[in-house]
Amino acid sequence: MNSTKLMKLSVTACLLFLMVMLAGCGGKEYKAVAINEDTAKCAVCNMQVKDDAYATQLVTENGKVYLFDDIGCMHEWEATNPNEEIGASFVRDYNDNEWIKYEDAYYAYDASYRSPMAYGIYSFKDKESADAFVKSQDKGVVMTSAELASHSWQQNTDMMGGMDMSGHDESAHSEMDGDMTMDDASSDAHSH
Amino acid sequence: MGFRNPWAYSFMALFIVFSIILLLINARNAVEGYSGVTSAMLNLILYLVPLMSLLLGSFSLTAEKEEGSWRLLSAYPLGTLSFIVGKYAGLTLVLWVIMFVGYGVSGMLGAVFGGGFAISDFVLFIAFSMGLSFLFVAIAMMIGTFARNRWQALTISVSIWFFAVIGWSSLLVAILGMVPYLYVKPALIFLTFLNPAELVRLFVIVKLGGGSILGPEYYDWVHWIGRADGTLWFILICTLWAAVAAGIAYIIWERGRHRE
Amino acid sequence: MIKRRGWLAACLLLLGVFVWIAPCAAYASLDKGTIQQLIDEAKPGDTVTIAPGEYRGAITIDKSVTLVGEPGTVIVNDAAQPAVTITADGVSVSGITVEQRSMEESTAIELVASNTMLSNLDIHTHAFGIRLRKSNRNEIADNSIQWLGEMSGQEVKMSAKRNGIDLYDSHDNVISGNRISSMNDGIYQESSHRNQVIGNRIDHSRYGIHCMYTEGTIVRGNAGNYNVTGAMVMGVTDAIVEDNSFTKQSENVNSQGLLLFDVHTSTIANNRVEGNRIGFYVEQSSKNDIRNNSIERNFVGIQFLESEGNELQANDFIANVINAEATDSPDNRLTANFWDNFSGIDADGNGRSDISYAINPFFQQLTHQTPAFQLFFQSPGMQFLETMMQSDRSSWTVDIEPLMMPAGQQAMAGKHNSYTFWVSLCLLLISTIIIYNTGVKRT
Repeated sequence: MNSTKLMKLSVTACLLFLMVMLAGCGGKEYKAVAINEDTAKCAVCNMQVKDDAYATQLVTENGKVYLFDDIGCMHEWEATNPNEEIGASFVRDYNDNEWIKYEDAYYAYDASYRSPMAYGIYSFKDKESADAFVKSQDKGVVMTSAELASHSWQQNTDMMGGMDMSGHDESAHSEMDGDMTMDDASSDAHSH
Repeated sequence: MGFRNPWAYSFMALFIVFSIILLLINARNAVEGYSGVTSAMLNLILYLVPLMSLLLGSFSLTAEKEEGSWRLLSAYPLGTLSFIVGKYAGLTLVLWVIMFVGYGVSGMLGAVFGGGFAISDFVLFIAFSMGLSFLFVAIAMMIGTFARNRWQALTISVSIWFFAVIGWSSLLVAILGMVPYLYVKPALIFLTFLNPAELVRLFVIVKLGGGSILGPEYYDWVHWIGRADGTLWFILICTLWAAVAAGIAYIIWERGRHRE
Repeated sequence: MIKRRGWLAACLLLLGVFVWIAPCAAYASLDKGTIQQLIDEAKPGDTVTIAPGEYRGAITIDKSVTLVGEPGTVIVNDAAQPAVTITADGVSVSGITVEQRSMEESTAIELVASNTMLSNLDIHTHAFGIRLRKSNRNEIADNSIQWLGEMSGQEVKMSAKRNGIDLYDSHDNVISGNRISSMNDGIYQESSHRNQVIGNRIDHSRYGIHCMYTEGTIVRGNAGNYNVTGAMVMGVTDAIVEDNSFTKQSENVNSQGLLLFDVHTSTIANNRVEGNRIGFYVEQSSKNDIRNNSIERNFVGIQFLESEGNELQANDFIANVINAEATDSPDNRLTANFWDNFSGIDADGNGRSDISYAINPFFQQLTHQTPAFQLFFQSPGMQFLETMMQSDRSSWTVDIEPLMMPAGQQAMAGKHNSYTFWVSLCLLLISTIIIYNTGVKRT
């Protein structure tokens, strides 16, 4: 007799538990999560995601969070998972690491900017800071998120001119960009 | 008490054979830490120890009912609580002694003939088995109170064993597949605390240094168990678990006593 | 002969100079410019020997001189620029201890030159160790690079550290026999081709060896342990990774021995990966030749994701918790590997099993969708469930003819453990006493 009573009790408890869980599944307010460098891994390239300005993330509609070490990886993920319902995606301001919505950010790009996966795109919270950055570098273009959609997403892997495997023109290789200054953006991102 | 029960001796023989099998697995590739060898041993222990604890424990209680010795005891001014606690402690001790003999024999053989266990793993496995039996005897006490006779106890024991050890993952994968994504992990953690087999298994994996395989989702938990006071907390949780289970057994047994 | 004599004379002369200077070094530490002065005064081709003592950085070497530190020569640099900057080709620096104290984005040694030889340097740094920019055909040998340690006890995040040796757009360099400890990436190469990384030892760093967008890289005979990942090879073609040993990369939740991502037509041979979280992790990589590796005691031996056209041959998979996982990886050719959890049948006696070894993708698929289920890693219940999930076997990755015996040598670890003996003895004694007192005595 007692066993049936207990069974009923546990079944009700389970149902209650489920109901509470389902009830919590209400309004959708997406928020960027903090990055723990001990566990964060890029969902595309498997590299550690550092808690720096290059980190990006997206949240799917069912609440799963994907982290990326470079905005290019996030683009890659979206391209290879077209069926996933994306709730929101976030990038960071280059200057103060504040999380901003992908759509609201401005982007600076130049092939010579260094980023973890060499996509060379930095994000900014307003147009002024993006313009100021490009000006300080003397190279690069500023884009909105809409313009970024038609971006080529070319990685600067130093293979554009150097695809010849023969390796006979080594000097051409090393002098290709011709700029030897160390104080440009290229000295910014080595530590990925 | 327990050692006048022939069941105890047959289980002891079984466990000696079993621990020698563990020794042979280990001798094939003696290593420390979490590896294919220790994982295989872990799973073998996970099959046998809970089943042994459930059967021995529940049979011991149903035997009291069947043989009428409980009715006799009820006549004495013996509290139900001390009866339950005494039974629990006694059964746990019997199981621990069975394991001590088994591990003692295989440990000696290994140390003498080579290919023996590394001391850290050996101690961990003994602790693992002790913890497992401690928790499953608590469940056995509940089964023993519910079951009317030995056959019922056998059926319930085997089904609980199957559910907790073998069917657990399949069941949870099926059920949690219907739950919204964000609730899968909390639900999984909650349910893991309900299943002593999983609880103890995960604790040992972390202590063997294999915690990182559980992935980023459980980073905080693994970190927590890995700390020195993690062991204390784990022992506390196990004690709590046993107390609750034994408490339920007590309440039901007490009711039965008054009804009669 | 004449040349050598001239060189000797120069040395003697310099030594004379130092005998004269050395006392100053012993009492008052030399002024900032001393080494710089010596370099400025030297002619290309000269050898400048530095007497023991502590010197202040930063210095620049802009002509092809040989700089030799006598034992006890230390250059300390508190400034944000590199302690030593080399801008001229053909420079050689050896036998110096360099301390780069500033946490600023800088480096102990900056190389913007070719045909340089850096050897026997002892570098302690809060920034990079040795940084190469557009620098080719250099030799970096037998140096030691390590994290300088925390200042005033404050804990530094791993990401605040920088790379030991960092190459960007630098080709044909030889990096050998270095020892790198507690840095971000031990040896980092980006867009740098045909470099040889040989016989280095890297530990307690993030990634031991990290190759990004390189061609024709050779990674040979290196040892990595206790890093997050032994070697991270990404966006690479035609690399050779052989005779390395990557062990005990198991602490971090993303650890592995060797990771291949977007790697093509490369050779991975004769490596030993042991005790890692994952031995080999292979994703989006094709046409690689993975052979004769020994993959032991990892939590997962090898993981294939979206990789095809690879050859996996004569590898030994022993005592891994799970030997192999593979998803979305058709058309890889797995032959004659040894899998210790598989018992084959060899009717024709050619040492290879007549039945194949198939890799069940179920668990990897499950945890890919819901990482929380990783909790079931190799639980008895999951093994049971996997045996039930046998549908669609045709798409599984399969070793057609697994080996019956390991391909390589097996070291049997037959340890006698005296502690275990005594613990066992105690257990037996205790149980005998209990049985006697409770069972036998009363009857």
